[in-house]
Amino acid sequence: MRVTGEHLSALLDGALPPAEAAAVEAALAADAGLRAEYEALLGADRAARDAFAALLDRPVPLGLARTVGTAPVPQSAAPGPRPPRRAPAWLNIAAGLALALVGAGGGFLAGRGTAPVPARDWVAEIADYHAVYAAQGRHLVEVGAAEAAHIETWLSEQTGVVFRIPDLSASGLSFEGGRLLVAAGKPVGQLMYRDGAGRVVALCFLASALPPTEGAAPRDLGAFDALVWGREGARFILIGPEGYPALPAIAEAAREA
Amino acid sequence: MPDHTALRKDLVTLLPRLRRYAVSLTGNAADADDLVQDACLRVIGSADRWDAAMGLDRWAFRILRNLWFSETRKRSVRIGSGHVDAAESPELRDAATGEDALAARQLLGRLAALPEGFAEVLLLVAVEGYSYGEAAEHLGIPQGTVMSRIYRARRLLADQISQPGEAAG
Repeated sequence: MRVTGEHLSALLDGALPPAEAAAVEAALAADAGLRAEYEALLGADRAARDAFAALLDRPVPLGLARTVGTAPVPQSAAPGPRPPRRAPAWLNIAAGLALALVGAGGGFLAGRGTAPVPARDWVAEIADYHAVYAAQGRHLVEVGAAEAAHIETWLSEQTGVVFRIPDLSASGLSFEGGRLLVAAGKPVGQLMYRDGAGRVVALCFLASALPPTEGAAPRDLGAFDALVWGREGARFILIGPEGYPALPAIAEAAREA
Repeated sequence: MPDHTALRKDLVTLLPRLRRYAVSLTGNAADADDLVQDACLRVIGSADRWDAAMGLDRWAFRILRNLWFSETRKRSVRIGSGHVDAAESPELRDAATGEDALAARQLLGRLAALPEGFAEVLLLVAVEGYSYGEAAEHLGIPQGTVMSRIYRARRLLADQISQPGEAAG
């Protein structure tokens, strides 16, 4: 057979039938010109993958995430007469979806699926944010940990909650930086931490007139676990991966900070 | 009417990949985000027609693509934005930060400058893991065309990489 560039490209994709792949590999071994062409295609492929990977790092606009997460579906988006209703298919796809999400780099998000969902409140909105931001690689935070002093001033001013960035290194968490969010129509400060395995834990707070709480109360947010507590003038939530064992201890450390 | 809370959450986690696929179709970030939003609402609105055998990502990709070719694209052309070079899009220009920003930016420009449909098929096969057969079905073209488009996309990129002065970014 005459080996073409298309064959080399298909070999790279593992798309050739075994016999053809063997023939192309034999031709490659015997022909330096073909090898050079294969290397060139391989280099282009690698570069394209890198560029596509960079696209994945773009922060998702919050408006888009919120619309997809909560906005009513217009009638025009549900066209045509509906067939007889079967069991909702998405209830049955946990396994396939988990694979898809691992592929998306959202490793610890993979467990999400059909967990009980609380009524919508600021805590649920924080969970939505967390789903988006915890999956971010390079764009995890708006202001990095190097500007910790600025983060304290900035988020205190914006939220009306005076706070210190808790040092959670004893719990294996390194401070990555902060963001300003809006939940329940109020500014929310978000401090992001990451553990050695890359898992993200966030401490969020907003001003509140509710009375202080005795301790931290757990909240099940589906794919995330959270602890919520209140001090004078503020409400806090610590949110992390589902089943994260150290969360109560981290909340304790954060409350004492 | 069900609120599809779990489905919506899953779609939110898919947003980075949906946006990336949309950019490979539209070539510009603003159209891509409009397209992603419309497609996600459509996925939610037609949840009861989703065959669970197809992953949510592929179902959403299919709806997104159909929407682009049936409606959004026509609208974009009507208002005159059409197929804009992604290298001109501020968001794409800023997509990569850090030390490898320049190289990634140049590559994005080059991908966007490929003939229409080339970046899409490369993304589907080389990154999203579609087989040639699956890509052919998704795109509605023969498998041989998938094979030749992917090759030509790589060939063109290889030419550009070997001539750095010609960078499109």
